[in-house]
Amino acid sequence: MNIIWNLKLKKYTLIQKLSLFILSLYVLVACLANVLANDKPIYCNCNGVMRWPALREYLEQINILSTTHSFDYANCSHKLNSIIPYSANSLDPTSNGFAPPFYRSSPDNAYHILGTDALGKDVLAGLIHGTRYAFYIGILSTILAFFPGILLGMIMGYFQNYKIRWNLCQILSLVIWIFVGLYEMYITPHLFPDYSFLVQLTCIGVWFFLAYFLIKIFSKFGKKYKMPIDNILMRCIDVFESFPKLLLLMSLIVIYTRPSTLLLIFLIAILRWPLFAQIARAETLKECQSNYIISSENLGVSVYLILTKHIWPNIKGSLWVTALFSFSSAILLEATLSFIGIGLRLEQVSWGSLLNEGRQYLPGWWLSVFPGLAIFTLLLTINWLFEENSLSGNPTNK
Amino acid sequence: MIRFILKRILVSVPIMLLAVLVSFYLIHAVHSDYNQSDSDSKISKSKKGFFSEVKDLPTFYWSVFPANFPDTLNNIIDEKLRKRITSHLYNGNTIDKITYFLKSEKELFSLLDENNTAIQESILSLSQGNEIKKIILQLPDSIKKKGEYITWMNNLNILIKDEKLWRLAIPSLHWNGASNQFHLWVKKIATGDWGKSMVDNKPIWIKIREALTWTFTLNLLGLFIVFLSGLFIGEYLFINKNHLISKVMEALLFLFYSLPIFFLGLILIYLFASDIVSTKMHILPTPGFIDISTDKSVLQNMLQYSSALVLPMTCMVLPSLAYLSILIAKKLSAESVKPYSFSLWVEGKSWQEITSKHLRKNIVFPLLALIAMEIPALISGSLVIEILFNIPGMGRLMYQSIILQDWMVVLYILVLVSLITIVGKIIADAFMFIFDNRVKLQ
Repeated sequence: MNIIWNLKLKKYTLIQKLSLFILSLYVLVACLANVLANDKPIYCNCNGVMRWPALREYLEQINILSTTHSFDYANCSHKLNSIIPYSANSLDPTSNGFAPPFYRSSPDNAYHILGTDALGKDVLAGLIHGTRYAFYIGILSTILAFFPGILLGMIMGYFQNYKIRWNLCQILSLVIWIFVGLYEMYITPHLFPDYSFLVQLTCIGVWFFLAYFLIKIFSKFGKKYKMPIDNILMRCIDVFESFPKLLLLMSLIVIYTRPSTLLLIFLIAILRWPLFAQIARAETLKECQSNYIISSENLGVSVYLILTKHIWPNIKGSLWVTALFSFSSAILLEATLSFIGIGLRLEQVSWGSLLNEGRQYLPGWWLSVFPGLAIFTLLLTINWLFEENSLSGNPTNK
Repeated sequence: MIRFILKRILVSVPIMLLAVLVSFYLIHAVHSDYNQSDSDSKISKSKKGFFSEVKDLPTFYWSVFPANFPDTLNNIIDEKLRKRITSHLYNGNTIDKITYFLKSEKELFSLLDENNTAIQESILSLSQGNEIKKIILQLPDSIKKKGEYITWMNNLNILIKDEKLWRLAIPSLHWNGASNQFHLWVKKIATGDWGKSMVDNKPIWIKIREALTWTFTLNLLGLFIVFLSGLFIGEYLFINKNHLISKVMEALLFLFYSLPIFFLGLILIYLFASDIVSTKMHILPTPGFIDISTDKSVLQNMLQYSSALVLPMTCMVLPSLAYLSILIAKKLSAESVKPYSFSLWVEGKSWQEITSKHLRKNIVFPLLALIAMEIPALISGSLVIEILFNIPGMGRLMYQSIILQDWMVVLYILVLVSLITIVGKIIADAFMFIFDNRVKLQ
């Protein structure tokens, strides 16, 4: 995150400063979505009791407070409405659907600044909540792909094809242990009555712990062979790469029949990790040829220290940049899926779903132009920010 | 050279097998999901396909089950019964005790009349023995005195005692031999018997071939345009680095480069294929009417609808043109810093001459290899354009098959695309090896 924290603004060109500004605006809108566009008031005074319904929604969305709570806001006094008094999913019964920009049914109602869709949902509210949603998908999927990707990539780059040496005992026991692990993943849901993701995670942790000991125990005897870890993992990545990502994601989504957002994020992360692995591997390989790594190896510095203290600080710069590009491409991927209509659940409003409505009803140009501009600006901003890297390391490119 | 290519092919054989296996399992997962619910009419359509023919066979060459599972579980064709037995097996019961229990249950149910159907259904839906015990208390007393009830009760008690979860922890390996779903399916592909589509009963191979011809013709044409004009623009940008025009052009190209394809397509439709902006600009037909006639060849069809193909081609060309020309300009300027081009410059040659005689050779071959690798990606890359402009290509075929739940077509497309990708990579590597002397040296 050095790029973000060590903002030496003098080093940036004018256009990079501008794009940083726009990016922070996006972040602001994503954070304040519930306050900016909400059909509930931000603050109201109901019979002497202060209430903050819009702020309460934040806690409702992360399941801290229950959503069942409801009372009539219309009778309250001292109301402070949000700037756009429509939520992303609130229907405006007074508009007949497909209202053009700056439409209002009566002088009492607020303007639909960017018009409405077929059901009378406000487009601007959808855009604002879509921003939050896009950031949610982009950030989480990038984080999920980032850590396994760089871990495997650094292992591949550091150990290469010859640095790990195991004897036959170790290899055989590890192969058997891998099959045991696969069987365990299949049987655990049936074995534990109160099965959850946490149980599975613990089992996997125990599996890795025991695997480490297996290798330690058997390391004493026998002739040792070089392990082609790099080759094996690269071939696995080749299998991943041989499927076009969009087609694979489409078929995965069909298997799970309109999955939840978290599952979609998980699927995008599964498709994205090879990218991080490849870049981390290439950077580590380059670093490993330098003299200071060779000399610290010869001095007996442990692998863990070499990887974290020496290699990681030198490769992290390009990895952060890749992460930002991966963020934008995850957003683009989700938008594309929603655009062609094989996306998430229908009630979820996102940039892509608005664009999809615009595609189906061509005269409603406001449905597609504004969300399209939002995605375009975000992509352009990120490309501007790293103009140097944008062509070589950019996964968004088609 | 032959050794190099042979080695490359040998390495990619297991990758191909794995890719085929992955796509098989994806579609298998979809299918077994849908088999369980019978109600939907769309789903019953998909039951006629390959997977329903081989439903009683095991999935793969070997199967790993817990020790208490029988070999013959696949032979039970009745889905509900199989599901029920499996749920008891997952409680840790052995197969013979389950069989006794189910037999006596059948005798008991023959006694029950219509008033007790609710109890009957709830017994059928439960798998835990203790839960079944709670339900049967609701049965009328007249039944509880009968002999069938008592034997059933005894069997249930035996079943509850027999529930031992530790049995699940012991795996057992079953070898299924060649009569399994995967083997039969691979055999089917290899012999060319790809079956018929569920939707229109057309042979799948012909459907895919037609779609492939559309996609490849359009994309290769687009690629040709992109490469030639990209080289031209890139060299222009590099030679006139400091001119105002080239700076403006670079900024414009950067805009196009970040433009999402679907947004560009929609804007082009608004501008040139609809009356929204102005009626004068409406010079091209609105998308969504391409109706290919089967008696003409694909090329004739394309020529007939050439006016409808202008916008999709533009949509395809613009972003990649922007990408390629900026890339070429950058690569040229990276090459121009190297000693050999500097010495040429010192000799007094113009940058134009140096570029056309020396630099171009050095950047074009890596780019060509890059493009050879991109060809398979085009199949999915043009998916959005094909759906938006209604072109009967590969992407739209995939999309439609997914929506109409024609799984076999989806499966074949996945396999085909992944195989083409792997072969494309081999070709790109061989290409680099033959034409680029720098790779040979390594």
